[in-house]
Amino acid sequence: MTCKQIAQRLQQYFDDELTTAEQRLVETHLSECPSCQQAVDELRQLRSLLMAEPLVERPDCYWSELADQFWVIHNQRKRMQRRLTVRPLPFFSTPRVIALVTAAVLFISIGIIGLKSVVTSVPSSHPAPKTEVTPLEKPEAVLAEREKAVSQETKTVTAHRRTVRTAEPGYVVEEPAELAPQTDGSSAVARRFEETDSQRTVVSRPTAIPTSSGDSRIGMVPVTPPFHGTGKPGKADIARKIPSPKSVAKEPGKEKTPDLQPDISGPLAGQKTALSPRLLFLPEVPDSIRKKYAGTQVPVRVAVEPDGKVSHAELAGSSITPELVPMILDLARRARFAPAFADGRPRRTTTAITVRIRPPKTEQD
Amino acid sequence: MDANDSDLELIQRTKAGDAQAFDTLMRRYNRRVYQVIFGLTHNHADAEDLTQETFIRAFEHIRSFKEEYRFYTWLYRIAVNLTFTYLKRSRLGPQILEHEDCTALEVADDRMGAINEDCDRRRNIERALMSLPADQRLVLVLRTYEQLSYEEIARVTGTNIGTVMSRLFRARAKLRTALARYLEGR
Repeated sequence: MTCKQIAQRLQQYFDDELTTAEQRLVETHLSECPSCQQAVDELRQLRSLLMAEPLVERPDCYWSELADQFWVIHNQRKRMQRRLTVRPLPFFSTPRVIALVTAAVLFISIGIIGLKSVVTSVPSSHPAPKTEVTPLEKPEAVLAEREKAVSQETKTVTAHRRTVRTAEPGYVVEEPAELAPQTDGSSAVARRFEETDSQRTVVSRPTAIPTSSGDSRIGMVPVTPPFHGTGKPGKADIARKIPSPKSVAKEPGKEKTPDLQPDISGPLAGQKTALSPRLLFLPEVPDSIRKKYAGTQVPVRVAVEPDGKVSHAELAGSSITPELVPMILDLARRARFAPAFADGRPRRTTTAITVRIRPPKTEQD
Repeated sequence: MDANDSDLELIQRTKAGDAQAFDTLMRRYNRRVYQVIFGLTHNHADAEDLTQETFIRAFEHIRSFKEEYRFYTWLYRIAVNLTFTYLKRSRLGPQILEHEDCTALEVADDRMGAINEDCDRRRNIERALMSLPADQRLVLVLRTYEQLSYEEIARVTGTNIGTVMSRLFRARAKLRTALARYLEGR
């Protein structure tokens, strides 16, 4: 055999992958060809160099601890899977019932919207609604109602917050801070934004929205430019609030004093209400990560679907250890939220959370 | 009873619901799986997590294991797939090598000089290994450290024997060049 033919088989010969007959042929050639023999010797030297040190050096107890840890992780995963399984009520699992309920909700919503448009187009010959008051009285009445609604809604929100899971996942999650009610009774200050389907609304803390019928609805009032530009309207702002020229033009029959009448029929009327999504569950952080990155804080922005699942997660900051990024994003994507609501229906929203990694349980106080 | 027969017995008992049997299997192979993964990632934290993930997947899918094959090749296949998926997703780019800090050692006497040299050589070997493309590095690790045959490597990597030989040849050629000074005089 020639050197070229042998060269193609040298690696296989070295790795004992040749048949016995082929092996004998190569050995015969090697005994007569120093250069081919040198090639085999180089392979042998390389192998002994690589195997001089083990690839991984760990004490024996490490491997048994690794095996012990497997069952801990396995059991945690099983518990997590059980928690994530949502058992629907048998009655509501029927697709027909769900379709009926959805149709009923839609029908009612359309009916309400239709009714509103009829009510707002009532001609001026009708008697003025009862909520029409003198310019000096109305703002204070509105303020008093709103103050009352704020305290009611704050209790509701606080009660809801208590159900959020906090125990032992290896992290602490900080959601956007709850807004404190304004002591002067003025309307809410915008603190965060939520993207709804078609518009970007400034969401403020809850306050009452007086309707034309005199009922007040508790909900989130968007603080839009007609109010102010600073974010903190006072009593004077509310008193000064005037309908935009467009809305006045649309309702020529209405006799309002532009300077003094609150714009109930303008941007505030019929505004959608929405609470922020609430974090219910976040998967656990492995102990090895907790040991290494205890105390690290990672801001994450998530998009929460109406079913409470996260459809998109991204980092909200830039200076984050690259090693942590895939794990944190994976945790965020597997999180579960109670979705935000508007008009009694869950909506897709985005929110920001900060995940702070706690040290492993044995190291904690 | 040779090692493979007892693997088979353990697998059958695991399929029947015996978790203790799987525990024995796991303790038998966790070091080897870790070594393969570490050969790819060269990061102990990643290797630890991926090793656990490998055995979790193996335990969950043990019923799909075909008993005509060897257990460890199936296990390595899971480990390799998980590792490549992880590396692709994390886009770590240049790997962060974990090695001793040789510069921290002070040369106090002749022995320390030798220790420094060993440390230096080990670091250069690690660097040379990590400079290889992942597919070549994997084949080299499976052949050199795990002593798998070409056919077994082909099964683990999901390729054919020709591809395995070609990758092995190129990996060895690159290492011979990178580690030439350590090969002279051996």
